[in-house]
Amino acid sequence: MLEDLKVTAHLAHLGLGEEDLQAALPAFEQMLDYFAVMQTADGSIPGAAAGTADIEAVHSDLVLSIHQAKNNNVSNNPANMNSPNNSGNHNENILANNNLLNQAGERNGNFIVVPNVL
Amino acid sequence: MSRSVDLDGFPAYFQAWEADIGAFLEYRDPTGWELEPKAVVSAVGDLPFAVKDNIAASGFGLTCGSKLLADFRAAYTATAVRRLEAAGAKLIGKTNMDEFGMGSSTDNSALQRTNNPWDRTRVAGGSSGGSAAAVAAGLVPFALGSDTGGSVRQPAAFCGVVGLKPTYGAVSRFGLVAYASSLETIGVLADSARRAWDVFRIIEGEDPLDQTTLAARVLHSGAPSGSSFGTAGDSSGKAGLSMGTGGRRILAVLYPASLVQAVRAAVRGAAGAVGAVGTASEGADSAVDEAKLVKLLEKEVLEGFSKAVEGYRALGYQIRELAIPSLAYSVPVYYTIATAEASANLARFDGIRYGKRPEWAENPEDLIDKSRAMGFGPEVKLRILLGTFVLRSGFQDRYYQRAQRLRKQIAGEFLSLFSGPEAPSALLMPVFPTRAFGRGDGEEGGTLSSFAQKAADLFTCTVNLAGLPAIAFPASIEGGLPVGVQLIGSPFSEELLCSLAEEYEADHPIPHPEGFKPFWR
Repeated sequence: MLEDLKVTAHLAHLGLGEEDLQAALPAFEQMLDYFAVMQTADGSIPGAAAGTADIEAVHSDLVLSIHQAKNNNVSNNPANMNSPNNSGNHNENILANNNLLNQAGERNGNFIVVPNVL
Repeated sequence: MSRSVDLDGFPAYFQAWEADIGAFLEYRDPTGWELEPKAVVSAVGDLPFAVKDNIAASGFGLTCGSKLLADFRAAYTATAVRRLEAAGAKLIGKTNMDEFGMGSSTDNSALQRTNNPWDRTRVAGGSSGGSAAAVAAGLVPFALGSDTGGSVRQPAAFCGVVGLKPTYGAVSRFGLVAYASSLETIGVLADSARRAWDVFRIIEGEDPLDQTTLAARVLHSGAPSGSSFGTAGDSSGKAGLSMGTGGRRILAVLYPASLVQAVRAAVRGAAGAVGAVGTASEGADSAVDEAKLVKLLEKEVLEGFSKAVEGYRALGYQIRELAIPSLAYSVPVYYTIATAEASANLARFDGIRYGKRPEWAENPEDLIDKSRAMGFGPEVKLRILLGTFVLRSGFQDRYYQRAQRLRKQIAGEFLSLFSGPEAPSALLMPVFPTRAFGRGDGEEGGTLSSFAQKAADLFTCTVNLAGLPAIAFPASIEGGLPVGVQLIGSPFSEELLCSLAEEYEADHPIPHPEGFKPFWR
């Protein structure tokens, strides 16, 4: 974790030395532990599982979301706009998405990464 | 609104209080405030007001409570301040705050300490602690603050004043130094619910300088009887939305114990999740934290909250208890998003665009590192580190993108509370699990750890995640300190929230600390 923190501190331009990083590590780890509770939401809250988000842009790369439920009918639950249903064509769509993903030049998980061209 | 202002003896009163509590980072000498009646007639005309030091006002500093900006002067005026000045109010000073709004005590200010007017050994709350303390001591009748995760409501509760956090987009953020842009709003701290509404009406509305602003207002049909708040046909002529309360007097209630259970569930869940993936620190640490968090809820807060519930019941409201399942995730979601946005927003403080420079640097990169190393305090550095980490390639899926998905769910759950024919007028809940905490080590008046302060944000931060309005006000005095409660409403229902708070205030007048004198009516 200390190595991760060093890289992060460098990216953040905080000018932190070894001692500063050692001092910051416990609070940093404690907060990341706390953030980890979000993992437990996967499955317990509809739509919270990975692969169902509409992420339009991340950093400088344009990332197109190809989420598995895209071509399915949305759930009747209005608070669960992205959840896949069980209408029967779910597996077909996953296969279609996988075919598309496999043709991508660069991937980030279930996303196709389109590099900046400017 | 009729008002008389008697400033006889006020300058000495102001100086004595300010020396005691340190609410202001900068202020005009009160002997020269020039509050004589002017041509401008409005609800705030000729009244002095203060502004948190992360809101720009030309002619004043703009330090954000940071050493990095200690000498920085604002080059322009925020829209909210400009609107108040145009309405005849007089800006008299800038108030202390946690550095860049990061904290719950105002002790994270790098520039000075602000004490609670009720007990000088305790904190004023934060991050708008200076504004809350100034209003509580009667130094100004109202002040502006900013609320990113509870920074208006929590200090309002600690100091025994009214704190209004508007709907996201209701008040222009132009001139507010950005910390977490998708969460924060400029809010009002005031000596009454009526005053908070008066101020809100002036600062609200569309602003071409802030594309997120909207000119919308809920015209509610459920106004409490006897309320003199403006309703449909308001002279502002702003577009109204139908809220559908249908005149029913229903309040939903989230009890403090269920909120603390959510905090515990989050801490336990974190321990479980960490154990499952085999990273990070020992489970024993989490157990210790959990034990501390269980003790976090003060019995005085429970008593104050019960009085508020009974007070509304006595006013004829039907009380409906509810649970919000996603609450346990709100603090991790909030801190993931807030720190991510902070890491981007605070990148401009590099010693080149903004901020003090070191005397010597080897190259531009070294200059940036040194400026930020010497300028930012430890809490700001920690949050920038966290924000940079959760946005890093390889970690985004686990943290930031997951947090955005959960935010959508949490917001949906809160919004659904206020829809449908049986929807309550508002949701009543506590503002914080403790009264104003101290700075010592002891049980009574002891401090709260930085982590416990963050965990306690669960009481307030969900409102920011959902972009909803909320008003905090004192429910009672318990053990010599105010206990605050908050009402949360549907988007743009500030009018209803203020009228509900005023209704309670009519039966339970706003309390004042010892030594308080009323100068503003």
